[in-house]
Amino acid sequence: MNIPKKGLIQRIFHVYPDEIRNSLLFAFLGFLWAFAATCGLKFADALFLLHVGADSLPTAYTCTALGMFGIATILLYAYHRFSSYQIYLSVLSIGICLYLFFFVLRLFNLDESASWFWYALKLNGFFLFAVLMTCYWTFIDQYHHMQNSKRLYSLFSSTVFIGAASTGFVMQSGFLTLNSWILVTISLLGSTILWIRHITKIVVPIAHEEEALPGELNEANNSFTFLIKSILASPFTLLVMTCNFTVYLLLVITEYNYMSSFQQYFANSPHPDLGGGTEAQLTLFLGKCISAVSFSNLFFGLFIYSRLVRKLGISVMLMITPILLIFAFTGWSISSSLLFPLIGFFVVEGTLLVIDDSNFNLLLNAVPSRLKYKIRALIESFLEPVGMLTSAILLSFFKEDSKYLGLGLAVCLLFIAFTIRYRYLQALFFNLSENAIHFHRSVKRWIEKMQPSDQVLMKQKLDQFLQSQDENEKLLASEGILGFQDPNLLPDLFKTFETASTSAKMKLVQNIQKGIFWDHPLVIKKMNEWGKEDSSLSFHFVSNKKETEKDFQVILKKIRKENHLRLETIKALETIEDPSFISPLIRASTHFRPSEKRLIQEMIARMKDKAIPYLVDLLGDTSVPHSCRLLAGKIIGRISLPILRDHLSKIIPSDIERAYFYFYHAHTIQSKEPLLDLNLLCEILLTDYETVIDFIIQILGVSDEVEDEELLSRSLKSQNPKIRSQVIEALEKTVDPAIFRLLQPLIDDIPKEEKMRAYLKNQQEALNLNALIDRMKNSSLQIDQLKAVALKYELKLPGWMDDLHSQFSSKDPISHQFASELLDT
Amino acid sequence: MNNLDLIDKAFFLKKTPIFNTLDLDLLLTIADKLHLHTLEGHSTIFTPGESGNRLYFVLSGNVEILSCASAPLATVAPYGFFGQESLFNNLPRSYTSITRERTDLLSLTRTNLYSIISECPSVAVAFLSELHRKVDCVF
Repeated sequence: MNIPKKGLIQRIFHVYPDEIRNSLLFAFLGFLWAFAATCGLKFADALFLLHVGADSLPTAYTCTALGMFGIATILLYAYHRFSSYQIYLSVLSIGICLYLFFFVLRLFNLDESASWFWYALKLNGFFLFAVLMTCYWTFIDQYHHMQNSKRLYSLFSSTVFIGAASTGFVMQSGFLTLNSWILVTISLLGSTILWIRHITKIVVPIAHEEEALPGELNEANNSFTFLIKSILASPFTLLVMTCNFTVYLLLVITEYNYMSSFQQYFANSPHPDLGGGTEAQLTLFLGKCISAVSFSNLFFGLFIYSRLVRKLGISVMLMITPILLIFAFTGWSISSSLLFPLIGFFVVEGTLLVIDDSNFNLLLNAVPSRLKYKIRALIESFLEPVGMLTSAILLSFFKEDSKYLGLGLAVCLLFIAFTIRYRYLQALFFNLSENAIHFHRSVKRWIEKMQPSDQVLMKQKLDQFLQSQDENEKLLASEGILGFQDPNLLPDLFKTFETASTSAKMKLVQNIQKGIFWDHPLVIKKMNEWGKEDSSLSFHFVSNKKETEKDFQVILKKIRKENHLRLETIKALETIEDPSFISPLIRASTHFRPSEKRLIQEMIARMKDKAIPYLVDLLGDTSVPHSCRLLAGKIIGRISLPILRDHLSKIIPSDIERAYFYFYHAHTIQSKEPLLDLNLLCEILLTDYETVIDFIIQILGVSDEVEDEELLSRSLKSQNPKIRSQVIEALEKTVDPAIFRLLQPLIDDIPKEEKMRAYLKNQQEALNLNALIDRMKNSSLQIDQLKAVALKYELKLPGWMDDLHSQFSSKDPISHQFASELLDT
Repeated sequence: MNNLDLIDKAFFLKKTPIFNTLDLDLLLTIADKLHLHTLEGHSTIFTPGESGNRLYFVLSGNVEILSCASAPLATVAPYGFFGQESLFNNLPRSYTSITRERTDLLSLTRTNLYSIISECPSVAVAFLSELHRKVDCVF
């Protein structure tokens, strides 16, 4: 299979070939709505100044802030009941209706002396822009996960910026009258609706499984109280909200300070040659600054941000703005140089838009998914006006000390950024854990995780179900009661089953025998009683035993003795001085129970340094089954974690190579042999690839490189790309960067050509079928060995008979049986 | 039905044909992933052509299944389920489901259903049994 070379778009924008169409669709959408909304906003601002005047601006600002509170409430409710697609279309439709209304008023000249018209136009422009911003990001979030949002979101925010900047060109041209401007805005909003519908027809969203049904009631989850409780229960969400609030405070305070500095600077150094006095100089200067910052924003957003965030991580990007502001405000306090106000200007007009907005979009992925869109609406529609209002109030009190106020807030922002950095990984794990299904959690564990009041409630409900006439319900309730592991509950439990059928009693006893009460005196006494009353029960209790003893105490002791036989044998091995038994013991552990494996771990760990060479050999031997290598790794970790990590840094890259090998050949071998049906072989190779990835994550967990490797391993196999992307994010934050760089292409949701390109880039070999089969024959995975022999047999490749006989002679019953069936044919 | 907790959902699942062979620990695990929906009568749950990513169990009330031509096909009573076809065949919904009266539904997402089936293959067998039972009824 020929892997195509990287195209220009891929090189520049890091957009993969199969993402180009969708990225262009979303980028154009960003341009379209931003152009439409900014037209409405900026024209309305200009006309407001003309027809009402700057003196009325404070009133307009107050109305805007109050209006945004109302809009935030409506949006929060809407995100509970409707999809982001429906909300987006509704907002655009409402915008069109309002502008049509304004147009009609204009046609009948009803606006000329009505200042309310210009207020309404201005407020409408602001509200529409703010709400459409929220709608846009919420909408495109349905189609992206964390990993591709890192690459693509800065591109989208740049096109939003281009759309907004286009308004400036249109306004500069001066050919639009008010009526034609309204019509242009309506047309653009209408085009946006059509474009959104076009996108939803051809682009498939990533699992958005949390949407409510239309018409759904469910009052409990809809309440504002529930939202507040959910936010308070998530420290990371609170941090993100606090960070944004602080940013809004700093935005106004910094703007105030640099505007004051600019005004002072130009008042003190007039240049009459420029004409028009200091206002013209200031305007010219600001114009140049805005142009420079706009250009750098565009360049940074299109080409730099995605590269930086993938190289440095979001937690480093969070530090940029607070560090710049601390530097600016510190310098500002001691010097009157223009450098520091310029840095402040650059932050407000530059980094806050390009870096912090993009950071916010990425950080939202670590907020609990049920809160995500509501938090965005809350922050953008509610916290922003509150932040601006608060900073206006603060400035009125601390006007003279505003630089120190700014410095203090910048230090707070840096502290918050550090805390977010610390909490980010925990938040990712929390999300993964919430989304994970805890198959291995026992009833006891479920009960332990409940609040005490919920435990009491559960107990009451179980007692009710125990009184049920339905024996299935009684038995299920008995499992719950036994989960409390309280022996005081046993008498009542037995009482409820006194009149139950024989099969129900048998099932109850089986449930008890699975738990900790299997040798409790009360249980033994009850089994004796029931056995005497009902001979079939008596038979069941002793049916596995050849003895006819009815004393259950003796029988139970004998059962215990037989189950402990292997354990006692393992303990006996510890007395042997020669550690050479370690290797065969661990190789045999594939057949051991978890308790036996735990005993082996403890026993060999006590041997300390003597055991290390044998364990290291096993760990590095790829022909040994993964479970044995994992066990060896766990034991090394118990003896010495640094030794384990040191060896892993050499071992894991070779396992990563194996994973690449399996992946590459799974996708290329069929095309090399088009006449053969190698479907099963490809499936096996893909399974091998997943097995090796599993092993890598498990061994990283053993070495403490990752937390909760079981959760990560399961979540990586999730059908939901958003969950898989969170796993990759979690691994990026915890695993050694060198190992992660090798691992990432394998586990990331990137086109398979990229993964294969990564394999070939490391000068790895591309094998033909014969060589592949020979390699699989020597694999540690039994399925590989079986398939290799089967393929050699089917294709009658040289040496097939010898390999079949070799497998037939194997001590492993599965291999022997497999070879035997093939030989029979 | 706002006070439905984990144990109630687990006991409900035990009475459904799909999960009735599972023990309490697994039922609690699955119950943890169920989402409760409450709808008034004559509310549409989904219509043909919509993408489907949830399976629904009827907790209380009744749900009517209608064909594309609005002909009644079936009624789903409590402990019954519907909506699983789109989860398995990845096609849009092929029928309409409407509540006859105020109805409580418990839903399971495709992602979670697949995870449950991979962990408990008996659930897949139970789906097949139900499918064959329905086919037998038709014949």
